[in-house]
Amino acid sequence: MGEDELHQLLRGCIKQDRKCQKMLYKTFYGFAMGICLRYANDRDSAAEVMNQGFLKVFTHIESFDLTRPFKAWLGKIMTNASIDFYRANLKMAYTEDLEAAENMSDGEFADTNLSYNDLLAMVQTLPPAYRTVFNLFAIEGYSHEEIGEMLHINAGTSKSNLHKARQKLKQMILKADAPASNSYNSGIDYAPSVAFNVPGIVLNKGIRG
Amino acid sequence: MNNEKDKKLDDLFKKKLEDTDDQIGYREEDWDALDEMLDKRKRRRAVIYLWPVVSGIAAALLLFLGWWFFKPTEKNSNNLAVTRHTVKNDNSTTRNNPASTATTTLASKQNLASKQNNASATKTHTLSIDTSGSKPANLAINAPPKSSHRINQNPVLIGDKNANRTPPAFESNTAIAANKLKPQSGANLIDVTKPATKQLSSPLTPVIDNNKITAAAVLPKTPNVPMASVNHTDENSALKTGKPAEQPVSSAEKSQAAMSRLLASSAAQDNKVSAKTIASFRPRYALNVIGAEDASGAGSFQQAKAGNKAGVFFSAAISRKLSITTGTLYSSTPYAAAYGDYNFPYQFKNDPVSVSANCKMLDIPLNVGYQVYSKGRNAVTIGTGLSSYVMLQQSFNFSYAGNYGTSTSSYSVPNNSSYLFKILNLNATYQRQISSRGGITIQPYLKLPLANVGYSQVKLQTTGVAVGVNWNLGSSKP
Repeated sequence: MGEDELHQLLRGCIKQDRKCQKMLYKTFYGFAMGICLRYANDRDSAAEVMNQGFLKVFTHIESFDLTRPFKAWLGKIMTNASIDFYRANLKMAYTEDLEAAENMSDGEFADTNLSYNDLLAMVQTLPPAYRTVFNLFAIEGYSHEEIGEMLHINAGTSKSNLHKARQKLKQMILKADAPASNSYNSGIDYAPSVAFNVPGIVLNKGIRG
Repeated sequence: MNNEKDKKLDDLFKKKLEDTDDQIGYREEDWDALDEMLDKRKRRRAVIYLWPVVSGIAAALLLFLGWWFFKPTEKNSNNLAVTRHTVKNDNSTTRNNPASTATTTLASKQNLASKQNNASATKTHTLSIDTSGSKPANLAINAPPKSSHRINQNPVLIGDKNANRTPPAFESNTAIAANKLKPQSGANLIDVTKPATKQLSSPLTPVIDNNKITAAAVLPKTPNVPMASVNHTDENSALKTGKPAEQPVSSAEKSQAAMSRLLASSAAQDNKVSAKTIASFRPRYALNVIGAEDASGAGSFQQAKAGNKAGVFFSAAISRKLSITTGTLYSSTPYAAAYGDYNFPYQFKNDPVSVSANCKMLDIPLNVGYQVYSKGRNAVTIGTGLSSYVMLQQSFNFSYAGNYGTSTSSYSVPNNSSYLFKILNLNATYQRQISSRGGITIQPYLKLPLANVGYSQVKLQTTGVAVGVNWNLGSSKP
């Protein structure tokens, strides 16, 4: 989609034109859903968070500066919506003894053939606290201090959660690459941490960034 | 070594997970869900925008109802001015034409009744020149020629006997009446005091000693004696005097006597109406601007938190004691309670230790007040009524006891659902009148829940004190 076409869509969204809103939604559906999926347990939860994010986009679209990249703005909103969802469900803090993972040997997973869906499933399998920190640090590029502020935890907790997330992911990758194993998830029994929906909740009072 | 491997791991996920093109298929149901959310939001915003309009319509309706309810009273007041002119005209007509026909007399009587009615209503007005110099309560009205004919048979006697029998304070009145009667024997004057119908009945009871009638008529101690009793007294006095009754000698006089009775009866009824009119209450409207500090709790006040309110009230006094009040208050109501006091529409996997909330809402009360004390500039009113809450936004903070210590999470609900008449209001208002324009009010209040309200469905109860300033929109003076 060209810049002019995007701006035309955005102007329609500013006028609360539902057709333009739907076109914008469809255009950036994959991008937005990709972010939310990384933070969520499953597709339905991700869709719910994504819709909350788009609701913010459509209700605050007039504050968007058309000279700035829309995709970055949208990605920020989706990340914030995901973090808010995580914070609203922080009570599900998941802990697990990682001693077994600590002692596992590191393999070469740079050349693994795992697909997007495989890796996404691994991330989604992580406990929310680990998953969120891993997403923010490894994929979004935030520092532990920034993550600490965003999640209301200290930097040390962020580092610890990142370390544990990595250990778990390594474990899953190794299991997935193992010839005897059909699935990386076969030997791990993680229950989903967040298993309810919160309808009608705005996860963030304002748009960050 | 480890750092490199960690970085490789991070890069692997970053590269694969950021490349979502063609990885995620579009689902129409996701848009449908968002479409519904957008519709809901649109409806809610429409409701919020409509509230001022609805409130305005309600206030206008209240004003109209108040005006309509008290409209008859104002009509009577308006008629008074018109009748005054009629009275004067009738007087002059009667004086100038003492020998009017029976038809004219009837018209005069009807006008007279009207005069008396309005004279009673105004109480302090003198309706004819005959009462000049007399006390305000004494009304001298020119009676119709024929009906008063018998009274004029002894005009001098009236003055003489009154001068002897009535208290000194009333002697002058009687004398004035007598003096005026003398030179205007053809003008047919009757002294009419507050219970004006007495004088109307006097021609019908010619047996009555005219002096007594006059004396009774000017007695200020019995200003509201009903017509029937006055007649009865007069008749008794006539019996006591043992004087033979002077019956109408002609059919015309009989007819006129009957007409006079009818007129007297009508006048008595008018007097009752007038009495009501005197005691009637003029509507009063007031506008209050208040601010309040209060404490709210869910289920109890154990963990009450301080909140505040501000808004505008409109009140209409429907009687001297009763008033109706409505308005709109913007309320910020924080409260906290144990998790068990809430009824969230979903289940938590791990229950929070405690939940605190802050409701931004509109409080729309409809209260009735009864004035229990009023002295000087001070008044105390107790009131009760029902409030409707319109939730604008609710924020919740959850506290959890987790492995990382106590943690919190929060979210807000843009829930603008309405809860009509779910709150019982109890209040007492102290009002200090600063001037005729208005005063100050202090109102302790208690709001008790009749049902669960809010997104978390709590029994939200509030107590506090409101302080405000009120302006009287209309003067209560006649």
